[in-house]
Amino acid sequence: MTQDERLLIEQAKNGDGDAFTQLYLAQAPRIYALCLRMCGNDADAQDAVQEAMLKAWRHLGRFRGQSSFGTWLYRIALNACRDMLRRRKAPPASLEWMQEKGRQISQPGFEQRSVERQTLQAALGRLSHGHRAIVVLREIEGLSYDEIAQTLRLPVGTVRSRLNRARAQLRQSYQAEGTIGSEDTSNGQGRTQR
Amino acid sequence: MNCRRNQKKLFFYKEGALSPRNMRRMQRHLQRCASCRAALQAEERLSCALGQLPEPQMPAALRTRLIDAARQLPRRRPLPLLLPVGAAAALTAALLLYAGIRYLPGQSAQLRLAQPMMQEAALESDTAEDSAMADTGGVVRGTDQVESAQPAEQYGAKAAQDAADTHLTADRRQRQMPSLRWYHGAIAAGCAGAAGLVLWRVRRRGRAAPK
Repeated sequence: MTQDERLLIEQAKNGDGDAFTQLYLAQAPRIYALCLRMCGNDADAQDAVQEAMLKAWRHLGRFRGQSSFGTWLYRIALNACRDMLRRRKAPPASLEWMQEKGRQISQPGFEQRSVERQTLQAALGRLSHGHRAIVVLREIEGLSYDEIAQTLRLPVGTVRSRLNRARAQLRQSYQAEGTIGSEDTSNGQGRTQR
Repeated sequence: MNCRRNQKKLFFYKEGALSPRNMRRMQRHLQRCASCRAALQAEERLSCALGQLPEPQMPAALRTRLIDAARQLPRRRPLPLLLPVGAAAALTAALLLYAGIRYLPGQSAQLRLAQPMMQEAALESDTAEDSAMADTGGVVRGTDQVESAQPAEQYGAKAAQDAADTHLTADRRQRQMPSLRWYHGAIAAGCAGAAGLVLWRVRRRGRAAPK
């Protein structure tokens, strides 16, 4: 946490709405990406981002700086997404945003990659909320195990084993579509280690 | 080694989360087993595919919407000073009250509170003493009113002894009065409970993060 961020948090805790808005807007793109992956469609994701902002403002007094402000916001956003999906009773993920994104890509071979990504996104959408959250936080947002443990309030060992189970489900679902099991991947980047 | 069991551990191997001994065993196994090598490659491909999912861009409209929503945020009040100050005051009041009742110098407050009962005890004591003297054929001092009308020197040292005995009897009785002790305890417990409640509320307000 930077000094500026600490200062803004203190100001926001003392009731400074502008300081809070500045803090939240800095994190909003990451929060939106998380909400979109959790909810699966833009409208729900935007609602979840706004709801998370209100909740964060309301509960800012409880933020004690034990984790980073971003991690704390992730937890609130994940709860907002879960509440949103419960209220809507809708399937968690659709391909709407992936299709829109796919249309914007004009590189050679983008169609096959787009199909792969859509398949993967659909497989991600079939995971339970908890498993999807762990996969998104670790594999897509790139959080460390410690940060995920803080966000989800779970022991690190539990996070690892749940991630393993979630990946097994994901792989199974993905392999059923015949994408990951095949040796022939169009972009070839799939074989490189992260 | 059992391939099925190993393949469940491949993710931990990839993450480097196995013990050094198990890491070495897994490496040796992977050199020999083609199916486990393929499973490891599939793990790595999955990680890559997940990492290559497009990063969604936040729409500009959402930014505007958030700024608008921020203007309508309900006013947040900083933690009011009233709560911690109230808690401290209640705790101090409880301690002072208890200390004042229990350890007041000179005649204790317990005795002052018990004054009517002491007077009654003194009367009983005098009556009992008078009866005893009458039985033994001694001088009858009469009733309480008569005694108060007579000069003090008539009794001399005996009167002083009577007065001391009266106080001792009343004090003994007072010590045996459970209602007074209960009263003190109730005041102290009530004040301490109120202070604890206020402190708990303050602590709860300061606790981190919603569920």
